Amino acid sequence: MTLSFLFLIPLLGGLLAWYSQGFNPNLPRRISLFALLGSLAYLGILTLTSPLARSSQWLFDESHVWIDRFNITAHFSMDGLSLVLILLTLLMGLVALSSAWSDIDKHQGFFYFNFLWTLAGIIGVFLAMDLLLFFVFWEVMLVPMYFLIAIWGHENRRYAALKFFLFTQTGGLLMLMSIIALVVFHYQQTGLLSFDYQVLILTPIVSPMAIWICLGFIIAFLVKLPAFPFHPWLPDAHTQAPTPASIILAAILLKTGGYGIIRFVLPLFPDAVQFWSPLMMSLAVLSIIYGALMAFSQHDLKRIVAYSSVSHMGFVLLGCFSLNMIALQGAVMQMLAHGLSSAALFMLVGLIQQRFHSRDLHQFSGLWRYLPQLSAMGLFFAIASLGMPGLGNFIGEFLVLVGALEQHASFAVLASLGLILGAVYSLRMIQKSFFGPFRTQGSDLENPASTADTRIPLTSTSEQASAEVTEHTKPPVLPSPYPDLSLKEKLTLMSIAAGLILLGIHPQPLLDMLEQPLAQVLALYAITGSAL
Amino acid sequence: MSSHYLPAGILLSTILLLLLSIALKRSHIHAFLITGMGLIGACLTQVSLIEAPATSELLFIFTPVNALISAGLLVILVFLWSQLYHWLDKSDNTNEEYYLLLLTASLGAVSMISSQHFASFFLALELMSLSFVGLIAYSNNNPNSQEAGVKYLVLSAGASALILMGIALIYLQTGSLTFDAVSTNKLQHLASSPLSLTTSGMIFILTGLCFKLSLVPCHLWVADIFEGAPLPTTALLAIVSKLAAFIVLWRMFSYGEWQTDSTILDVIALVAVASMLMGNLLALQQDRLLRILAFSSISHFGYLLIFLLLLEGNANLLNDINFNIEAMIFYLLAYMLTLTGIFSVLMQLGNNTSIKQLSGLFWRQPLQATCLSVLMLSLAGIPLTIGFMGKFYLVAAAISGQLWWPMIFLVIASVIGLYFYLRIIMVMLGKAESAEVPCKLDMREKVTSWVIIITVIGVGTFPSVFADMLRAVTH
Repeated sequence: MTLSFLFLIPLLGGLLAWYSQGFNPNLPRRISLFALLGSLAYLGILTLTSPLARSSQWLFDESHVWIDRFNITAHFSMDGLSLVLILLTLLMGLVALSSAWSDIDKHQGFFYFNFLWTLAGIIGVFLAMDLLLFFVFWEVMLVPMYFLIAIWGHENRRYAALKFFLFTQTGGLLMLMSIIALVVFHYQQTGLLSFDYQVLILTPIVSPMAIWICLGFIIAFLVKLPAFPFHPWLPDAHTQAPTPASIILAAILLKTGGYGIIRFVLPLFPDAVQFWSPLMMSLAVLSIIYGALMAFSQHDLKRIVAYSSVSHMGFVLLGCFSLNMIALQGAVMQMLAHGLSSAALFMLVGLIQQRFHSRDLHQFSGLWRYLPQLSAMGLFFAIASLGMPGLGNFIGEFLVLVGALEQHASFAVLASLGLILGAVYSLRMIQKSFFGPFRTQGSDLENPASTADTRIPLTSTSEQASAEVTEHTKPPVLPSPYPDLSLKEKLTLMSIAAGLILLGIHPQPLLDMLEQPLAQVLALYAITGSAL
Repeated sequence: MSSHYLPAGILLSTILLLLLSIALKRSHIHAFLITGMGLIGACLTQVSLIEAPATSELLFIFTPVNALISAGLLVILVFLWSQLYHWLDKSDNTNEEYYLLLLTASLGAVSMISSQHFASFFLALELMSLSFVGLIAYSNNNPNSQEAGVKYLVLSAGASALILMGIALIYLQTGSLTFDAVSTNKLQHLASSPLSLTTSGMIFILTGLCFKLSLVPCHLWVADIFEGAPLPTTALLAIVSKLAAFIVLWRMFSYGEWQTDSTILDVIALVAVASMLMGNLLALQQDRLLRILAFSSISHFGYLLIFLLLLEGNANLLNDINFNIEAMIFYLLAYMLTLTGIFSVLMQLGNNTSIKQLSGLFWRQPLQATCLSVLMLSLAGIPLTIGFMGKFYLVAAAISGQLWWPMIFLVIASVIGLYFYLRIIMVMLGKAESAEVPCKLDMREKVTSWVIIITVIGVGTFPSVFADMLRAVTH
């Protein structure tokens, strides 16, 4: 039983999917499904037959020699934190697969190859315990993601893909330098050359350079998270990516940033983190408010969800740098809940786009009339993401705010403004898209032939609206031209909703599971923390 | 006569044999086979010499490091040779002399790599440069190639003149032509002359070598010649000539202790930063692949100059003074292997080297396009490629030498570089402009592509064997 199978299964599945395209265009997606289910089953078997004692932080631990010259090992470990995030990755992978199933029709083999390799890279990131190995996975997951955006994306995909890659690569390069510098200074201190996380945390770095090395790591993770000044890639990437890629991006890829901060930055640089913590908390608050304001002013549905991600991930950042148990638990909870709710929202936007060929709020409204199920789901997830008590996001945001209040009350007060703003933009989105009279850009139901010249009267919207109101008072006996949710979509969305409710009503088992790893992270702050 | 002269001896006798064979009967296949036997023979003997004990004579020095670099060079030459036949067969020139010039250029490069005396260095340099003039101007029906040949002739003559002048100045000061004379006589000349002739001499030599390496103030020729020359010649020019010139430059620094001279150090630092930035900036808006490669090679040699700056550092945080050499060789060989791969793919593509012609290659020729993408990612330094390991070594060496400021420029330059490497990949992903039916690759091309992919990704993923060998050689 080795952990490496967890990402080897998708890797091999990806190759197989690419190869199988030659035989049958339907094979790649089936292979992807089996690969994901296989990994999931393997994860289940692993956790059920856990060979290590539950008392230690690491549930599993294995290590192979990789590059002997620098004592770099292929060291994989899993604790509660990685376990939940890998579980999230695989489940959201299934959600993305479900939305890709009939949506992707060109170059299917190559699509599923990239799809599975991205997931494998992300799983690798959550498992790797050797800094260079971590870095390799960190970078390698970007290349297939780049292809996903650049090939299957929407109109402006090249630009978005390039922006995404350049931003994350810059962060990555800084992190590479920081990793090497950290190892070199560690060697100076102890005479031991090692890239191993579990070796490096034993002797925290004391050099005055630590602050800058720490900053290198932080920037790389902030770019991924994304936090305020490093976020510009996100709205473009999200908007232009095909729906499955958006789901992966929002639900899982962003979480690697938060994971990196919790796993690497906090335990490796206790002093430097204390130094940066006020700055990072202000960045977090800025992201929360800025993201919410930007989300309010957008009219592209995907952009709204993307900016709301910036806002929500600000809570994660706030939680990470509040440096206490409650806030950290909140940050992880927020990561999971946001993973679920944003995946669902992106999936819904994808479905809307599939039906109306538009994501622009100005071009349709009143979807409830023809798509009641879809709209109901949209309402549920928008409410979830604005932090309705009883759902996962609320628990996450609440815990973060409680934790932050302990550390810096002013930041917590400012951040809680984000909750109000969140309600404002979410409700605006729901109201504009689902409620009101039914209207789509240029699709008069009665005479679809007139689609060509409907762009012209856009200026006189009131006129048009009234015309349509009268239209819709006529009892439409026609069957709806827009199919509502199919069974597969319904099942997917329902299970995400169930997950969110479960997280919201009964979060304690999860919090218990996270207790041990997070306590380990905070062990170094216990002494300094009490002095605060 | 030690066994270390054997590879060069084999090359030399192959040249004579080839001359004889051409005189008796002109035959392309004969010339091809004779060259191949010579190169492979030289390569094998060179590989077996890596383990041999180091010896030093007046003109040449043979160390395991030199042997490894020469072996790498010869392996690359063998790989290029294996694709030469098809390429030359398509052109309607006489082909036999091309092999002759190829062999003399290789002989020049191999002897330059192990030279430690200005006389042997200069002779080897001229042997190589003059052969290159012939190689560049080879195609007699392409005016661009003639033009490039003349350009190279004039510029390389100028560079040689500068180098000669520098050598003369150093000789005037030190009275000796060995590389290490500069360091042994340093104390004397510092006391005697206020205007340091040695420093001026060094600057002259440096300028000459900057021409060969196309570093920034002397880089203007490189794009035109890369584009004008026949493709295999461009490959040789980018790989063989630059590799040899860089090794010589490094030897002058490490044996002559040039780095103790602060003026020289400043010049190198300036050239390094300027090359990194200029190379990448110039490549941004190019739409011909060869020009992009030319400019990217400027920036890669800019990165390599960091190793020269590292020679000066006294504090190595890894407590391992040989690590810099190890890192330098890794970076150099990784870059050269990647370039070899790129030129092999380009030779398969024939003359379709403008970016537009590449569009949609992914859907027309998936294998070639994948191969080219992997190579571009390797140039950009993305993990799991050999280029990333090279970059890793470079950064590790620079950080352990506590050389922080070039790192900032390295990051900026790499990000700019990423833009145009990705642009090439992006174009290949685009829609095919011509709806031409994909023509089948023949077996040879397939094998070449697979060999390239496996080498670049294989060594990039499992660099252990290579790294251990390098460590054994350098320590």
